Amino acid sequence: MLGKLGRWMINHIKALLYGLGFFFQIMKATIGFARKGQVGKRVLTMQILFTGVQALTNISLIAIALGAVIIIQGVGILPQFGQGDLIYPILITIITRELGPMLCAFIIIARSGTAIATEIGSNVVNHEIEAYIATGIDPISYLAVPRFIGVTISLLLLNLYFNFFGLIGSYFITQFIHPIQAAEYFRKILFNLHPEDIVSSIIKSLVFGIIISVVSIYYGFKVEQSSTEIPQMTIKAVGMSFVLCMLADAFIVLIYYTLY
Amino acid sequence: MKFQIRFADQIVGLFIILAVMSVVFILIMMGINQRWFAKDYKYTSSFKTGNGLSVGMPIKLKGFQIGSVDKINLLEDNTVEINFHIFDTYIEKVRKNSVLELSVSPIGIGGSGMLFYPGKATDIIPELSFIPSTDFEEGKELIAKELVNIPPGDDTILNIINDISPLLRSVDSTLESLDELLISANATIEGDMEGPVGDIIEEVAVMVTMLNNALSTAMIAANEILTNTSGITSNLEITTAGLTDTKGLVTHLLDPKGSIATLLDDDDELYKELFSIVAEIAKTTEELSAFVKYINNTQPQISELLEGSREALVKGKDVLEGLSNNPLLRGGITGVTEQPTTFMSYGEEEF
Amino acid sequence: MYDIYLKDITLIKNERKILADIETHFPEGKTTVVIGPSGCGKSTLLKVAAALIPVDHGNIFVNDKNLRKMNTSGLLDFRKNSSFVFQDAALWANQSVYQNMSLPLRLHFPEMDKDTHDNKIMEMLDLVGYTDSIHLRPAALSNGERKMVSLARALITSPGLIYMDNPLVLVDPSVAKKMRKLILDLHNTEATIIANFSSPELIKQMADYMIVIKDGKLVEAGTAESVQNSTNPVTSAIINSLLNQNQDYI
Repeated sequence: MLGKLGRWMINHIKALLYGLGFFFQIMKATIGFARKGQVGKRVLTMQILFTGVQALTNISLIAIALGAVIIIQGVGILPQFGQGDLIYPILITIITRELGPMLCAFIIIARSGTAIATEIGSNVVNHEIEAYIATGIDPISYLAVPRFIGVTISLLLLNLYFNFFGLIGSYFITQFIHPIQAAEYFRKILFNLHPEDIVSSIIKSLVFGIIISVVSIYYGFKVEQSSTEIPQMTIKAVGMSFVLCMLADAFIVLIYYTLY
Repeated sequence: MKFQIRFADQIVGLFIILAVMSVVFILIMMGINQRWFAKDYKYTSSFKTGNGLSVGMPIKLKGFQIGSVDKINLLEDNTVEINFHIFDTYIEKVRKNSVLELSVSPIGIGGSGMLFYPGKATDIIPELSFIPSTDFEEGKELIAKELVNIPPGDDTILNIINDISPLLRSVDSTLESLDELLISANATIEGDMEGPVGDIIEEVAVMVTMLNNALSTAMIAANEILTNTSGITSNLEITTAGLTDTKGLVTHLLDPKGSIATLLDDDDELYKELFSIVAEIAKTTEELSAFVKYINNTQPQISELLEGSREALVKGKDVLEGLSNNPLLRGGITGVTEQPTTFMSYGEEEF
Repeated sequence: MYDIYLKDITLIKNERKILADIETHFPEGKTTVVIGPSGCGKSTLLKVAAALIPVDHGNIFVNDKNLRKMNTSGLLDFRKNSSFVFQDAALWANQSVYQNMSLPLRLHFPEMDKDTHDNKIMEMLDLVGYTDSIHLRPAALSNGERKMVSLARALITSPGLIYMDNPLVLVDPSVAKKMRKLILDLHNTEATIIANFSSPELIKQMADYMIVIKDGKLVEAGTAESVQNSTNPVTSAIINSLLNQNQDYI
């Protein structure tokens, strides 16, 4: 019993150290990517296309709908307490600081995290990774780094679009149901939006992007021989990405409220 | 899909550029809206208390925000120092003899505001200077000397007037009823009307209680704007003095041989005294009624008057109650626990 | 020109020794064929010799230089001059035939102009007999076509060291004939070839040296002639079962 527990512990510590080593290897290769990454630049472009551009429709629709719901509910309820202007800080807190980065992360986990883990897992099973090594291409530099950079940049950009659509686009939808004066709305949104909100949002999306990409790549490479391992590792990648994103979010919020 | 892959570089480029441009646009708009690029002029002031003060609190002039509070410090002598800034667009309003006033909503709803009253001088106060507040003598003196340009229709005062007008209307109608009652009491005492004097006077007492309650409520709402006033209350005070001077009236009433009839036979002395008192009350009430109508339309400093009126009427009520209980004073005058008024600003609390 | 020397190679997987204390030599400019029963570790040995699989113990020397201690540029130079033909083609699935061919060229010859680059690709595909569209993805190709493209990709950088892991397995005879000719032509060059063939005819025609392994252990190594005439019963049994077949089915 004690021996089992000890072995379990040692294995988990080993896995954690391996994961950290993997992360630092990706970071190291990322630094070199800008200098000699001409072969991987196309992969990066395609990664941003798949992860960022193709998710834009989903993200913008969700952002507009969420923003409109918050405005409509808030405009209906808050003035009853004499706090009608509270709608703007609420909108910014939800869209910019909290749900924006988190919802974008969830969508990216579902779309690209699974795709990356599956693709890299297939590459391993089909010996494509060995083919890259035999050709002289480092799979970390060529496969992992463009995906890492691509997902991180895409999540950051999608989060910006989410904010844009959530704060501005939703206003136009609201006009059909509960008209608000445009000048007043935008003036108050801009007045209540602070640089620390934007910085917090950007940091969150960057951290979530790093987590999702590294975890997905890691579990993709964990596939060894059989194609049946691919879905197993993909599920693990999704689960671990969710958990780590939530923990990171809590940690960033804690730091944010400590600082401000 | 093929189109996207073929033009992947262009699409991704556009995707990045639009996102960056939207952020830059929002940042610029935020900067303009939050005055990141504009110069602010910094000043200091001091208040008796930090209650109602908060960092970021807007400083307003005639309803326009002209600056905001940056920092609040409690000093060694328990006064509160604030650092604030005035927007460059309003710097010409910061003239010598300007004064700050912390306006707190009297009924606790609607928050507080910092009002800026520009001085009447022409030269602008240099940056980092001290601007006095109305909490201290320096500021009050500037106002008393009429060196400050205080706008006639300040928002806060108008709001308070609006808040208390329904209450004042109630006071008005009570006073009218009291007036009528006193007239009829007067007539009864003169012998024009039938019925015991005691009943009428009891009704007077009830009306006075109502008036007292109504005035107490009005006090709560009106306390902030109401300061030194005099004049109209003088009649009431005199009347009240007469009423409370129980040596004449009440001593006679207490006379075991006495009754209303004997009193009235007493060379008409007591009757005349009572008659004159009631007449005074009627007259004063008319004046008060007219005054209440007046304050519904204007915004004078009426605090002291109403407070004085209230106190006088309480005393009057005591006497009238004494009369009503019995000319022979069956119940005597009941002791009344003085109800404290909220005639104190939140800003006057001590730490 | 490459001379490969494996020293005390041990590879353990799931607590089982896949390769055990293997020490052998692949002479430069010669073709060395690894033979042994199915599942004895021939493919694994080739991948270890090509430094595609990390080993638990032992070293690989390339021209007397330890591959495990080689710096990045030295390793890249080794990769530039070596190539591996995989048993299952191992083409990059998300890239077209053209991109599969182009990637090694762009990596190792970034200065090469577009025309030369494209001509080289077409020349190699022509050499292996590939005639279909160069813009197809591997999934759209037949098994034989994939093998052709895989061989063409391996040879496009004109490597001096070629690893071949059963390149003709599961290839239809018409394609196999053309590819076999190409492989035989390679034998006549100065390239060092390390191969695992299942075709007896190809083994006989190609092998200068032979390495016999069984259950992950080295049985015998030497010139093709000496191994074929070996008195070692294990070697004899393997040689008999492999080379004395009546028909060459691939």
